[in-house]
Amino acid sequence: MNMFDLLSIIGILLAVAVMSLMFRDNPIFRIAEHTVVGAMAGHFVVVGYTYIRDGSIKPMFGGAVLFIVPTILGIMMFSRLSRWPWMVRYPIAVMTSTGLALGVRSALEAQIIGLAKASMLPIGGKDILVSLSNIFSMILFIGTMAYFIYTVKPTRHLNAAIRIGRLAMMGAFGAGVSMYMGNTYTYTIALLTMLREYVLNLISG
Amino acid sequence: MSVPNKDKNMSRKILDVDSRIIWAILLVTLMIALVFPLGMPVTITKQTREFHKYIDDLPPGSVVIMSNDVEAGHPALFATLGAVISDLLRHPIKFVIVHMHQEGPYVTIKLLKDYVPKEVVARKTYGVDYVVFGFAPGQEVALSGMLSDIRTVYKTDVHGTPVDDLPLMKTVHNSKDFQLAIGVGDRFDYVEIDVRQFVASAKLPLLEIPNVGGVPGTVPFYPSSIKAILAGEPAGVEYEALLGEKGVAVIQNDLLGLCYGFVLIAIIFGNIVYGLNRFSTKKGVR
Repeated sequence: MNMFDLLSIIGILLAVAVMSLMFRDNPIFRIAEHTVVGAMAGHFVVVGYTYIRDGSIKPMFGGAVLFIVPTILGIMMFSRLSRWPWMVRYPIAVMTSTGLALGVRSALEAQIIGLAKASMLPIGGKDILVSLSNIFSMILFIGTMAYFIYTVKPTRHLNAAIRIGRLAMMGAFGAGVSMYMGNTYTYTIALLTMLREYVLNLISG
Repeated sequence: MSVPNKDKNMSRKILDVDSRIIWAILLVTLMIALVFPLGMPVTITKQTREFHKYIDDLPPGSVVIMSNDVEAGHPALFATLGAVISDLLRHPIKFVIVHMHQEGPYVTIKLLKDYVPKEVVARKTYGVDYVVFGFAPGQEVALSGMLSDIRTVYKTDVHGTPVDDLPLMKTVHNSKDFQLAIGVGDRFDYVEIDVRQFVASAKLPLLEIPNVGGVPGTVPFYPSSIKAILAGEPAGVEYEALLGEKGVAVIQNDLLGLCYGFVLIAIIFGNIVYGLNRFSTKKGVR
C-alpha cells in the first residue's frame, strides 16, 4: 500500500464518519470533526510560519533591512498576551489604515459608480421581454432607493415606492437565503463526489 | 398524550415517519447515481456562453491573472474551476494563479492533478505557459501589491522556484502585463475586493466565479464592472459541456438534480399527506 492509497482510505473513513451525523451525534463523528479542525489549525500554523520565514525573516537576513519593520509589527501583535497589551494598537492601526486607504481609493468607482451604471438598463431594445425585464428592474431599483430616503417626510407617492422597495428587498433576501440553502446541498454533493473519487483511486490503484 | 400506533390512520403514520428514514432513502438514491452516473441533460445558459466567449476571444499570447480563493473545505466549486482552468490550458494564452487564502495553493494543485484532464495539462509547460503562486496574506493589500509589482509579494512560486527563473515571469511585472482577471471565491467579500482592485485600480476586465450563495452578491456588478459570471457549481457542468468534457461536474449535476427533485417531491408529498390528515381528522377519523 502506498501513501496515496493510505490517504484515500483515511479520506473515505473520515467522509463516512462525517456522514454518520445523519443518524445521530456519535463519537465517530466527533473524532472526524476534531481531526479536521485540528488538521486545519495545524495547516494554518505551518503556512503562517513558512510565509513569515520566507517572506520576512530570510529577506531581512539577506540584506533587506526594511523587513525589520513588518517583523517588529508582527511580533507586537502578540503583546496582548504580555504585560504591555496597549502595544497591539500600533500594528492594528497600520493594518487597518493601509487596508482602508487601499479600499477607499477605488471604492467610489467600483461600488458606487459601477453599481449605478449597472442599474441604468436600456429600455427601448428590440427584444420586448428584455425591455420589460429592465423596466421591472428599474422600478425595483427606484423603490429600494426610496426605502432609504429618511430626510423627506413620506408622501403618498413616496410611500408607494417604499412599499415596492420593501417587497424588492424581501424578494432579494429570500433569493439569497435559498441560494445559501442550495450551497448546503452542493457542498454535501461535492463531498460525495470526492468520496467517489477516493474509492475509484483506491480501486484503480 | 401520543396516539397509539394501531389507532393512527395512514396519513398520520406517514407524517410521523422518522426523518432519518427519509435521509437514508436520499442517501441510497444518491449512492446509486454516484456509482452509475445518469448524465442528465444540460442547458447551457447565456451567462456561461459569455464567460467562455470572453476567454475564446483573447488574443494569442495574452496573460490572465486568476485569484483563486476557494477553501479546501468547500469542494463544490472544484469542478467548475477545473473546467475553467482546462479551458485556459486549451487556448494559446498564458496564465498566473495567485492565492489570498491559505488553502488556495492546495486547491489549485489538486485541480491540476485531479480535475483537469491529464492530456490537457500535458499540452502546456509549467513556468512557460502558466505559473502557480503560493498564499499571500493580507487580502486586499496583497492583491494591490501584486498588481503594482508582483515581485513585492512573491519571491518564489508555489514550488519554491525563484520568480525570475520562470520564463513566463520575465515579461510579467504588474497589472499592465495582464489582459484579463478572473476572480474565484466562496465568500462574497472577495468579489468586492476583486472589483476594487482588478477593475477600479488596475482597469482590467474581470470575470467572476462565485459559489451559488455568492451569485446574488455578484450580479449587481454585472455588466458594468464584471464582464461575465460563471454562476457557481451548476455552471460547472455547462462549462464541461461547452468544452466537450465529461468530468466530475456531470456527476455533481446528476446528484444535485436528484437531490433537489427528491426534496421537492418530499415537500409536495408531505403537504398532500398533511392536508389529507387534517381533512380526515375533521371528519372524526383517527
